[in-house]
Amino acid sequence: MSKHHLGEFEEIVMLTVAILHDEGYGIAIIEEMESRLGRKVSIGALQTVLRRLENKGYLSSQFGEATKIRGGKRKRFFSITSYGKKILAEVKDQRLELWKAIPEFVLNN
Amino acid sequence: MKESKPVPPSWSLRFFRWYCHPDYQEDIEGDLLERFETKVEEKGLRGAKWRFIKDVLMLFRPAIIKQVDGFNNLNSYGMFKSYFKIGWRNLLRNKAYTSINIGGLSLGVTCCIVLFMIVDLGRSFDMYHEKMDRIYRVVTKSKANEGYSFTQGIPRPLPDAFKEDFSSVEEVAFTSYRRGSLITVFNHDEVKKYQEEEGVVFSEPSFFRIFDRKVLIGSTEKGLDDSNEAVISQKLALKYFGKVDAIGETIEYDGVIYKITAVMEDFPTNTDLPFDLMLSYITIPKDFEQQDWGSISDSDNCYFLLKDGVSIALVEQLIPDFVQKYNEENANGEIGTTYILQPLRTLHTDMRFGNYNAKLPLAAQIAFVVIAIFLLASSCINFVNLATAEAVRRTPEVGVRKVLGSSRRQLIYQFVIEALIVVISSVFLSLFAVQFMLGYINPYMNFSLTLNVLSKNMLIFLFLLIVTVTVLSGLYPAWMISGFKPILALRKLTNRRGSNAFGLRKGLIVFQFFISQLFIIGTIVITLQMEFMQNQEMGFAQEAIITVPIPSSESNKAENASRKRTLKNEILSLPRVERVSLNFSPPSSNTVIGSSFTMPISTDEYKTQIKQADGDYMDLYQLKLIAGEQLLDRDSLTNVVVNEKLAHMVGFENSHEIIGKEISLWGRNLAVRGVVKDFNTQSLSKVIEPVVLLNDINGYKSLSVKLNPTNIQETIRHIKKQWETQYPEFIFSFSFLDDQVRDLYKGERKMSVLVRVFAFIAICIGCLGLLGLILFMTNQKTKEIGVRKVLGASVESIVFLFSKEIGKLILLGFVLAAPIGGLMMQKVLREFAYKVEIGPSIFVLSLIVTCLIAFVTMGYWSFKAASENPVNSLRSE
Repeated sequence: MSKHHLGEFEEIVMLTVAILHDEGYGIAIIEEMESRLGRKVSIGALQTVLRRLENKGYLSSQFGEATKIRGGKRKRFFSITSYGKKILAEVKDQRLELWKAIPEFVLNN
Repeated sequence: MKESKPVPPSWSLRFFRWYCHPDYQEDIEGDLLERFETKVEEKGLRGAKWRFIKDVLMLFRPAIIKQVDGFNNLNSYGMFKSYFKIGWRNLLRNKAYTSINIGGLSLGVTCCIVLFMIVDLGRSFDMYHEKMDRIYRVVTKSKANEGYSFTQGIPRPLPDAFKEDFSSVEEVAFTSYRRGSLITVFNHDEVKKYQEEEGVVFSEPSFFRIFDRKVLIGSTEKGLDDSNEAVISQKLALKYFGKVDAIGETIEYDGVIYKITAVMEDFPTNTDLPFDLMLSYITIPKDFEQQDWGSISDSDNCYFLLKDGVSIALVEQLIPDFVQKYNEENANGEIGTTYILQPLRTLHTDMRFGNYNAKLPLAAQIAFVVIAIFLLASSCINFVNLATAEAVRRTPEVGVRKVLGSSRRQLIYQFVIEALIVVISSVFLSLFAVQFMLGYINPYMNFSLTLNVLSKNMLIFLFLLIVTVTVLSGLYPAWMISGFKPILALRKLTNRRGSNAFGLRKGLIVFQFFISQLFIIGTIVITLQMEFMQNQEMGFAQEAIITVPIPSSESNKAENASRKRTLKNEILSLPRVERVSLNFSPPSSNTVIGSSFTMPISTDEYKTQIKQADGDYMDLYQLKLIAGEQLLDRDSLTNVVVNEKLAHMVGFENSHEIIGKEISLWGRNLAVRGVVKDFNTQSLSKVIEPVVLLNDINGYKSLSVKLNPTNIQETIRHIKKQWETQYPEFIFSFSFLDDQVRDLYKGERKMSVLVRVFAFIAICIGCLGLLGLILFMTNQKTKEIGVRKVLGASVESIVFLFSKEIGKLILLGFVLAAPIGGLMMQKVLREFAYKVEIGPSIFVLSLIVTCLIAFVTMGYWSFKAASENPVNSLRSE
């Protein structure tokens, strides 16, 4: 059992960051989540989780190049650390184990 | 492209930059801008801006906000932050103490806010008119039997004459109000009837030039300038026609058709001109009697606008000439009437003149402010008591802080900040409580209060409230606690100085008992007075009598009269109807007609009330005849019946002597046919007035029916059917007389409930204070109790010891409260003509009540302390 608990939203954010692979910055992550999951996410909610995950060491981030759009502000790209990958894998295993533990007839109905 | 680039609201961007953690600022701002740019394309600029503001607000959360201590420690922010943290932890640790503290303070603050809102609303009435300072109302002052009487009514010809004679007056507007009017609405082919309690008003176009009432559709000038025109409010237009643009629609009032020519905005709650439907005054035919300067109706008012830069004194000094010119002298060669120019700002507070609203007299405003201050003071005292009692527990902390170099000023800051936390929490709690309470207060007191925390007055008030309460309640304990000597404090020996503080605490408790007992005395007296009035004999029968209003019309008097007669006869023939009488109003009523008369022998003018009634009136209401004979049953004025009071007033010691004499009333000489025993014509707060009963079918506005008590509902159904065949175009209503009589005291009853609520709250706060004191005393005396018990004292004797202490304080509070409360209540009772005596029993009762409450409050704790095992309290040494 991992002592690190990963919330549902945190998990989704990490997975989305992984999908985008080094191209994930605030808006891109929100759009990805909206298109894949149909889930409305506010900037505030997302940024809070991103900072928390970064503080925990699951994510790392670096600034990109400044461009003309978005008021000349740089983007901050997030990527998963190897520690983060380990946690994700753990979570996945836990889930799978739970799925496996369900007796077959329960889900077959 | 570049120049038309949309930008997000700059203030919200600045706000974001202000709060955001500097490390995160750049990229999040970029995200926000990017999102904004895409939203502009999707939803347009407006939607995108809203979205942006929402995002910025949603980002305002702990993870994103920069740290409060910032980057430099040149100031003591860090220390303040620590005070908040320590204060917060202290409050959480000591839950009982905190809840007593916040609860007590919230009670006081809640009352304070509600009272402030009432007074604030009362003071805001009609203050929003742009030309407010130049608007006046002409009101009438006339000679009464004793002193003067005042009315807001003026003679109908006055406005025109006023405009003519005074060149410094810019505009004059006449209003004539009709309460409870039946409006017929023609909407397409449908005809609907509405009974409007708020009524209609006849007025002139100048109304809109004087007052700020916007006309939304149609023109201001043409709204009421011709006959048969009406201006309707938006609200009423929607109600009648289902649309705002009601121009061209027609309505009927009092048999006359009006065309709607303009739609105006709804009136705000804080106006004494609550007009929803305004009809052109020019429509009313000018009868001869309405041109008379001698007759005045309360509902006819005259407002005027003074020219800019002209002093009102200029108009005032011309008033005597104006009076001289139009009013007739009486037989003594004097004019009993004059006119006063009342500024608009006093419309809501001057009790001498009526309004279309309940007023808030200055005296009530002052009373509210005093009550608010008392309650607030009481809850501050609580706070001081609890905080100083609690200080004992904080002494080691203070000692440590001092040893580590805290200055006294810093300690004071710390404890004041702790007080501030409590005060702010209770203000927040109170705001919720106020919002909740308004749901009950508004309907009950007929107020229209709304809690708007962001209004300017409210913000200022809340700020001052927080500052005052914090200073009053936090400063003394902070000063006291911070004064501990560090060495003594560390050894928990603070009692050297404690005796002084204890004395002060006792003084404060005495003050609280003083306030509680004032309220208790007030409650007892007012309750007794209410009971007294309701059980008082009023001098006429009230049981099983219903009254039914009869529609009155200003046109076609002859037909009206015959309809009234038929109605009476038809209803009399119904089964289980014992008696029927046509009259102006029941013996006791809030509406009275006043008039003046003379006796042929002298020139003195007397005022009297008039009641139009038919021959069955006295029998139905069982009014006792003292001399002469009953009133006749005629349709028009022949002779009259007067009451004893009138007979005495005009100088007849024995009531028999007035029989057959004549009085001269309304320009006619009328013989007195009988004398009736005095009865109350108004509520018992008023003295018995002289009354003349006379026949006048045009004045009958009400039908009184005495019913057989069996099957009353069935009988009323029959009456309704008869009534509706006579008046098919109107809506039937009725009420029981005993309910009506009870309604005369509605105002008083509400006042008594209000006083009771405040008394209850004052007592609650007082009890909390007492509880704090008892906790402190038992804490302090744990050892003393232990020693006493070891030496053989019983539980009772120790409880008695505490009770004696508290009893002394109560008695001291009582000695202060009794005379002041007595004087106060005497003043209140002066308003009532019939009143209870304030005897010693009232004070004894209030003392007993206070003692009971006090001992119930402290009983448990003192008993608990007294029954504690002495081993526990003595072992800790």
